[in-house]
Amino acid sequence: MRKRDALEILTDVCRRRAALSVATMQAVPVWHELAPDLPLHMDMLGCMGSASSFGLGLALGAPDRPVVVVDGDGSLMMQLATLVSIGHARARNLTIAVMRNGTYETSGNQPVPGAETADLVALARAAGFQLAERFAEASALRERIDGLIAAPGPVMVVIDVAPEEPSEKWPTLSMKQQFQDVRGAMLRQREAAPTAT
Amino acid sequence: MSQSGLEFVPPRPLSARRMIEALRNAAVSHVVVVPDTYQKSFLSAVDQANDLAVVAACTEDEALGVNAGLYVTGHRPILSIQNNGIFACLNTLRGIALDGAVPTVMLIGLYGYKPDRPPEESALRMVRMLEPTLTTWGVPTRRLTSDEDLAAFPQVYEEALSRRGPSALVVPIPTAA
Repeated sequence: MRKRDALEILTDVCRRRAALSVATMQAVPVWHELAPDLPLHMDMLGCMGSASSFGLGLALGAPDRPVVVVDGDGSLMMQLATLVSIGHARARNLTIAVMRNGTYETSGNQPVPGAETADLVALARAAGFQLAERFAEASALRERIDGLIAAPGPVMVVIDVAPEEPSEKWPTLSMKQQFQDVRGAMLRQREAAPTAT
Repeated sequence: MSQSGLEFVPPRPLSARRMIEALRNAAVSHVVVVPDTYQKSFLSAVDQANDLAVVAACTEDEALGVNAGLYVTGHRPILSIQNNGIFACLNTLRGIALDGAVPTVMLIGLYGYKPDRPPEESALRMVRMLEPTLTTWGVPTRRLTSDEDLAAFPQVYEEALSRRGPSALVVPIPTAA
């Protein structure tokens, strides 16, 4: 499917469920085109591989709120052991959605090692994820996504997307400003309902 | 006497119990851990402290990501890692703690150090290069040479919060029970 189709589904579910969300690499420009309004969204830029561990910290810190991380296959491979840390932590509210295009899109679509041989669904299950499923069609993903995000996690959603030309349209809001904005929102929520997180 | 001509005072072991007290004084909520030999007794004490949540990470890169997520959700985490781990995760330290402006207080074991001379005179690169590496990256670094130094921990934590960046506290020799 197209990256945009997958991200429409993911941004919709994050909006409906008021999820904390994280995007990295080439998902970032499209996410911001589709969902510039989501107040609990952050990017992980300039630090390839860190999106999922950041998501783990968010999930442990806000256990009553869904956390959705949009990672890439190349970036996840940079810190693949994160799957084990997530499985070990039994982060029930964490969903890792991997945009699997088989390439390092940002640097010119060079092939990702293991694109033809590594099974991310099997790796996630072996690492302790409670659910791991792969989708090639947008219709199947749309039908299943709410159930996956609501299910006790950690959950892995591998989404087959076609490689594209890298985008140059990066968001103007800095990562550190996003962090402060979301932290402010989370602190206000904790003050309003101290037992919520 | 050290090469600098100054009298060398060897560090004394930090008490794990006093370290836990220091964490409580700073209202630390979580300890994100990649195990370090020199912090063995401290890590054991953390495991037994019901008021401190422990998060195990496979790598220091991950520990920095987890720390950021906990910070954003309003918690007060620290990291307990090793000098070799710092060398392994420098890009993530740059990307998240520095560029992302995330308070990141790190207890760093100085694995390999023998207290017969200052760390900067050690024959081991992993020992003598730790503090210069952190300094090069603009990470405020303080060596904890006795329990008295732990009194500064809450101040170090608050300073990292207000500056929004990393701070390193070096644990030079094995902690005591």
